[in-house]
Formats: sequence, C-alpha cells, structure tokens
Amino acid sequence: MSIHIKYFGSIAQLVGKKEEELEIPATTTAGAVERSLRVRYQELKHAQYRIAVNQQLIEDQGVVVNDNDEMALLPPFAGG
Amino acid sequence: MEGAISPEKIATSIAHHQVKTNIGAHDIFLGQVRRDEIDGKFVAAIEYSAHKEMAEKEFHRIRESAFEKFDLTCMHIYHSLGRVEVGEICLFVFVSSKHRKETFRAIEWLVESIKAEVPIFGKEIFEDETHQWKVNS
Repeated sequence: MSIHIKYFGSIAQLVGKKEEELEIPATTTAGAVERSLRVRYQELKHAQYRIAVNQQLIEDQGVVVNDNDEMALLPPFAGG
Repeated sequence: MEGAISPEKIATSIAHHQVKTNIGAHDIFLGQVRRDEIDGKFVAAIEYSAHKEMAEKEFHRIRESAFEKFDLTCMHIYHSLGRVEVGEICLFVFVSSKHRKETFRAIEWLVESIKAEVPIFGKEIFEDETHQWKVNS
C-alpha cells in the first residue's frame, strides 16, 4: 500500500523535498515509517519534529497507518 | 493570507463591525515582525509557510473552542504566509463582545493557542540573506 509523506519548514530543507509517496506493507505503524525515514535521511537524526497522521498530531507511535494516509513531519511551530 | 497584513485591513475590519450594535468592546492583537538580533545578525524578514489544510482545521477548532469558552459576538483571525518584512504585521486577531472582560480573556487565550497549536513555520531571514528557522517559546 502507499502513503503520502509531507515535509515542512526546516525538515523539508533537511531532506530536500516537500513530499513523496512511500510504499509500505499493510499494518505498518507510524513509528516504523518514521524509523525507515530516519534511516533514509540521516539528516533527520538531530532534527526536532512531531508527526501528524491525517492532519492529527499523534502521541502514540504504535498507530497503524492505512492505504492513502498522509503522514507529515512537522518542525516546531512558529506562528504569530 | 499572502504577505503582510496591512493597517488598512485592520481599519476596514473595525469599520465593518460598526453596524453590529450589540457589540460593546473589541480587543485586537497584532503580531509584528521584530528586528531580532541573533549571534550578531539582524532579522530582516520572516518567511511563513504552513501545512495549510491542517492549519485551517486547527484555526477552525480554536475558533469553535473560543466561542464555547468565551461569550463573544465575533472573532476573526488572519495569519500571513510568505515573506513579511520587519515592522510589518503577520498576525491579526480580532474579538468582539458585549462587554470588555470577555474580550481581554479571549484574546490572550487565542494568541497563545495559535502559537502553540497551528502548524505554521517561520524562516527568519537575516540582513545578509542567511536564515535560520524560528521556534516559538
């Protein structure tokens, strides 16, 4: 199955892109996706970000991601 | 909205509310880009970007919560996207109520909620065109 990964702000600058599609097996968790991204992009090692799945911040990395879900890596907010 | 928020927009918003005759008080917050000094360099502008869909949802949720928590007649929130120069306005929050106490409480709650919960990102651009990423405290 395939999910949409979105990168913003300093994270997009670090990985060099704003979005990509990722092919993953069913029942993959958000945590597992994040770990694979950290392997692919070593630049994420010391980066600060939170994860949103389908535009909701997640507290629990054990959340399972589904086909067509969106996962966003959000650096610290700076509004206002 | 794209670019800085103009003083004229703020004045127009105030003018639009003059017909709402049950309003007794407005409170307004304006966030302005400050010429911060960081490691000997001065900020010239901030370039704002956002997870737009998620930010709209968060703004909506914050608005709905504010109407539940405070007795408000009206509320408007505008945030800039793109480049905003030092001295320009990047955030405009406008609340109205029958009485002033609600507006004082609501405006602080709204601004703090926006700063903590909306996925907006800021690239601080220095006068020498280098940059760093802003983090809210």
